Amino acid sequence: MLTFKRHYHIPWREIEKKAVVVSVKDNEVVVFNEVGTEIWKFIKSERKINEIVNQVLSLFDSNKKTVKKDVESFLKDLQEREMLDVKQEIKS
Amino acid sequence: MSSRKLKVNIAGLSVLLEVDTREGYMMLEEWLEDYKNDTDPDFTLHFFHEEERFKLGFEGNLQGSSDEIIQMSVKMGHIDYQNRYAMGPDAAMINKELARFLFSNSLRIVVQYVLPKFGGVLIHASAVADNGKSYVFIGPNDGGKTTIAQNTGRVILSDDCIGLNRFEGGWNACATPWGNIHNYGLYPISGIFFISKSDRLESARVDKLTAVKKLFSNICTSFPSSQKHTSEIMENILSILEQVCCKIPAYNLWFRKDDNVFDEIIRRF
Repeated sequence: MLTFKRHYHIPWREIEKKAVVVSVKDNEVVVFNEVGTEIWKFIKSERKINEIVNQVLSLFDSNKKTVKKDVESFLKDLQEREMLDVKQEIKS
Repeated sequence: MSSRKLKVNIAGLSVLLEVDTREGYMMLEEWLEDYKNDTDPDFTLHFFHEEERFKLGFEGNLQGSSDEIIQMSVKMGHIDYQNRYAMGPDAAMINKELARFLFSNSLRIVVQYVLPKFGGVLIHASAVADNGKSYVFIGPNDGGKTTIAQNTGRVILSDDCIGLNRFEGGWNACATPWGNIHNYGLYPISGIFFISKSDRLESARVDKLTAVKKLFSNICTSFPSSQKHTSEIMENILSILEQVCCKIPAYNLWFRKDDNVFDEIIRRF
């Protein structure tokens, strides 16, 4: 199972309830919507995808299938922008 | 080795420039005449000429940042222009141009790197001063920054690169020596305008979040450093821009080439 955590060195601020995140790789600022902002804050520590999906479902009115698809797409985008630490969870 | 020293202030940063040739010193003095300042320097930049190579050095007390500066100095320290020297009667002139290019770019890179640590940023913009206030115009290359500034008939702080820095509690636009037109001065900012050429004169207020994003994309950045160090600077820059956009109103401004934009700005804002 993979875990996801935002890179500690990515500069960001919350402005008007939206995460304004610097893509150091692309040298630009990316503004997340409300859902993206909540995910970004939630992945301060390592999270599995089902934890992220459940967090989104607890905050927004949507169905699980749609949320899972959106979360996967969002995480893929973060990974491409080198904003994300992705690890294989080590089972003890 | 004897050297000559010149103290200047650019966008609130005091810089001691040290050069080892009379010609280099005279070039800097001529270029930076209006920026001379006698305050204690925040850092020192050395330009030395050695065996047909320019060497750049840096000294400064930046509280925990010396490793970044050392990295930068190492990367920038041996800029080799020897293959680009011209031979023949034009050599002196071309060498002077090359030296000016090197001085100008080195100083700009260092200032844009160091300034955020002192609470300011360099930004691609023109700015004009009027009645003790300044107005900042931001747009793409050939987007009208110079045109709009010239049409105002006011003092142009710069037509290409300005500093944003905080003085006496307010955000100021500061002249910088980069750009074709620049006049030394710093003035509290009344408004920031993101300009676009159009067939009409129109304006619309920009929300804070959009303003931060637009400003960020116009920040002068070419950091010769690692991702970790770049991230720290970006963090500073983001914080500065948020503060600027909290205090200064920003607008989209569409204009026609011959519009007297400034009178319209004064009338509308």
